[in-house]
Amino acid sequence: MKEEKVVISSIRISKLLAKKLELIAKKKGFTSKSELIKRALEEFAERHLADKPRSAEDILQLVEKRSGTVAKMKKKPSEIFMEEYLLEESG
Amino acid sequence: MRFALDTSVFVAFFLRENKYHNLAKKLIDKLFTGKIGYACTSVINIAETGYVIERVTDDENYAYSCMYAIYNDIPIDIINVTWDFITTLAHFKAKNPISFCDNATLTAAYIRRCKAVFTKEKKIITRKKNIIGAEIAFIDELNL
Repeated sequence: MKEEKVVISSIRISKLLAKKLELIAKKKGFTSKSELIKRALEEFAERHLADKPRSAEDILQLVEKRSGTVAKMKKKPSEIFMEEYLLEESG
Repeated sequence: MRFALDTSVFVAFFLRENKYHNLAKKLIDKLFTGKIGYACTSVINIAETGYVIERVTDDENYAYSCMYAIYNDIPIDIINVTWDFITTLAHFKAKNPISFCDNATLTAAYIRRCKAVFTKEKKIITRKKNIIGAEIAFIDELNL
């Protein structure tokens, strides 16, 4: 089955970026700049959809990956929550 | 089901050793699957989550990543500080003998017509009477 195609609105880019894309297209053997841009967009979409968390565990793993740590509790959160009440009462 | 989530829920979620962690995780999972139709939290509660996690773990980087995840990754409505929010929060704080951030949870719940959900790490709230603004529920009473 033939894949349906759509035309997206044209974008304005700098001359410098256009030159860079032309250079990469030549170097990597793309037939045109637009082929290169299509490939770049496909890769971008895949990367961003793959990164999207889909569950609570995905979120926890993402947080651990971004921060580079698995958090350890050194205090009970209830102690910190209580501080606000104690401060208000003493004030 | 429509909930305004308190800081205590996020703190439990991000700390795997916390006694309410599994319940908080179930709740967040239900946001992803759509079994909970709507949830929100205020920017003030996001900041409180950050400072409590930093104090509990002594890890600023982890706390930052938790705040970033609430703001960007969890499918939740973020309630920003608008004029309506400011005036409602001020009034609730004047009337309710609970902390400023707990009143922020009630304000988000009031503005979005939700129940305010806490964990029992803030059970001090149950000892305070005549709280106005929104219905309060505890995570272990939600039948998750």
